[in-house]
Amino acid sequence: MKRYIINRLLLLIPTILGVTFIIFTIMSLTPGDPGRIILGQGAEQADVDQFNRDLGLDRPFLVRYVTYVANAVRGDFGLSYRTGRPVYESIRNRFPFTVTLAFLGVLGSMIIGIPLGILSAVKQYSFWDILGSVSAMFLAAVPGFWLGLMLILFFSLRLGWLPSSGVGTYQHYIMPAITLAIPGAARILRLTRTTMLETIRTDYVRTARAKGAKERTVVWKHALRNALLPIVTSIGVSFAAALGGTVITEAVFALPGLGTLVITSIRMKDTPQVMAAVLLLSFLFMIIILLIDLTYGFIDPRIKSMYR
Amino acid sequence: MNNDYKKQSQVKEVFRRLKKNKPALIGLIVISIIILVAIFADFIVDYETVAIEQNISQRLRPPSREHWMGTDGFGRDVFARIVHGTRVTLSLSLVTTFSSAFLGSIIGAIAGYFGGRIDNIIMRINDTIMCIPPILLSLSVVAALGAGLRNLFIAILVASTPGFVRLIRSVVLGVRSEEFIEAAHALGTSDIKIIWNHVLPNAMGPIIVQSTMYVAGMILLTSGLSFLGLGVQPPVPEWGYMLNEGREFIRHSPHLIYMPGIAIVISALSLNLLGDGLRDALDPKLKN
Repeated sequence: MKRYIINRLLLLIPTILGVTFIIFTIMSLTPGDPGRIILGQGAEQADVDQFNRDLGLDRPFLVRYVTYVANAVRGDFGLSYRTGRPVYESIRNRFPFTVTLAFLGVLGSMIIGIPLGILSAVKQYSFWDILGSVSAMFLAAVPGFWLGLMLILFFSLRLGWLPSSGVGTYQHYIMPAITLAIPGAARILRLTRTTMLETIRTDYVRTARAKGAKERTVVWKHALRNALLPIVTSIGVSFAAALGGTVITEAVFALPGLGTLVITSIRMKDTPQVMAAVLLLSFLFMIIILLIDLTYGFIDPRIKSMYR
Repeated sequence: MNNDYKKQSQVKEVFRRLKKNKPALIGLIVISIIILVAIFADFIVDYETVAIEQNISQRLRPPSREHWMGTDGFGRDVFARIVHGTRVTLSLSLVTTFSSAFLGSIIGAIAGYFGGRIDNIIMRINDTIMCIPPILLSLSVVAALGAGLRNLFIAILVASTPGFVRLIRSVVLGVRSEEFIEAAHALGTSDIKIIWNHVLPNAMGPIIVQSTMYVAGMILLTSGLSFLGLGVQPPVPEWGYMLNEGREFIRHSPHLIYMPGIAIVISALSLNLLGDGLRDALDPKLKN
């Protein structure tokens, strides 16, 4: 197991370098010159050139990439085109909001999706199964931003129960978390149902039933534990969706997270700011994927034994 | 000749299975109607005079006989904008899906067919791109190139192709060792011809199913990015951007929020139903 963990940790390094390279390449496609944007239209051409030289923009692409990585390792992601200050400053305060929101969203979709998926599979073709499948089908087609607006319409404007925007109390997180959770819940429900249906029909479940095990034991111990692997894998997909979805959700509920920062930065053509935020969220995503892969080892003894 | 006959019967067989699947049939009918609306939008309501022209004296009217879905903040008829929005949203989603399916099929087929080092390099790059959550990847492309329809297209293409590459590669890996590929080799057929004539046609089923599902996802993604104000520019009617404009009036004119959202949900839902049905019809083994 230890060797497996070390292997995976080492594999993370080239992946991070690769992701940084892709983002850096996209960033270098930006037309225009940063010195002009930061110093403004009124600045002297000589000053602008000097500024660009100081930023190292006259050097070849690969050199700039290596410098960017070397600086990024130390937490320096460059200067904001808008404020001229290090981009890390504005990211630091916003990061926790986005991460909390994404985690709440994924947690919510698991809490809703997995039990309902199991219920649907165990009671296949029952009323609950059909209701679950139909609503999952429907909810998978609902765009998050519209769901958020509908929640605001109903719970904030009509009933006045929840605040429609901003942060402060835990109540502010309820609607954004639901907005993020619902599409993921629909996907997890369908997946849980399918994999549970597959495992319920396997020989070992039939054996467990034949030897007279209680229905509860059969479902939770024999079937669910074997169906867990694809479900856990899909949580990675949920995180990708949630980390991206926070951008839209934050825009709907006016939350001061990385998402709103990314949107305003795009409008202001503040490319380094966008890249830093995207990079950090991608790193977070990679670490989550790594953790998910590591849990395979704990869930599935077959994988564990491969790396003994 | 023999080949033609077989192809036809396969399509017929798939369609026969699809007809038995009620939800999929409903999806097919609804999406056909939506496509017809998109094609004949100009005959339903005029674009210039009804969907675009502003009429401040008529602004923010609730749904009535005159304006079925009410009017928006500029006094434009919401029904007309939804009808013409069908054209924008649907064509954008279809074009991005086809483009990324095409690009992804070629790259994926090359990786899967040649294997070895080529496969390794392509898949390393592909997996690395997939480490970036798709919306964030699209956003960074838009950030670099600027907002607008063309850049939105590029952004979505970049973010959605890797999924196709991975799918097609896995299908091609399965096809590669088949005997008819070996036979084609023995006949001295070139690699490009083998990929185009023998490998890809056999991967068509999964490509079609995945594409149908993708169009639904694309509708959500394009309207989402337009909602953020990064895609379609005003005054072009697009469902996501209509929601963005409607937000301002959410308190007193909620019809501006209901209508475009319902349009998005109906389109995405019918495509998902059709995609599910197609998957079952093309590969009955998968059905549970």
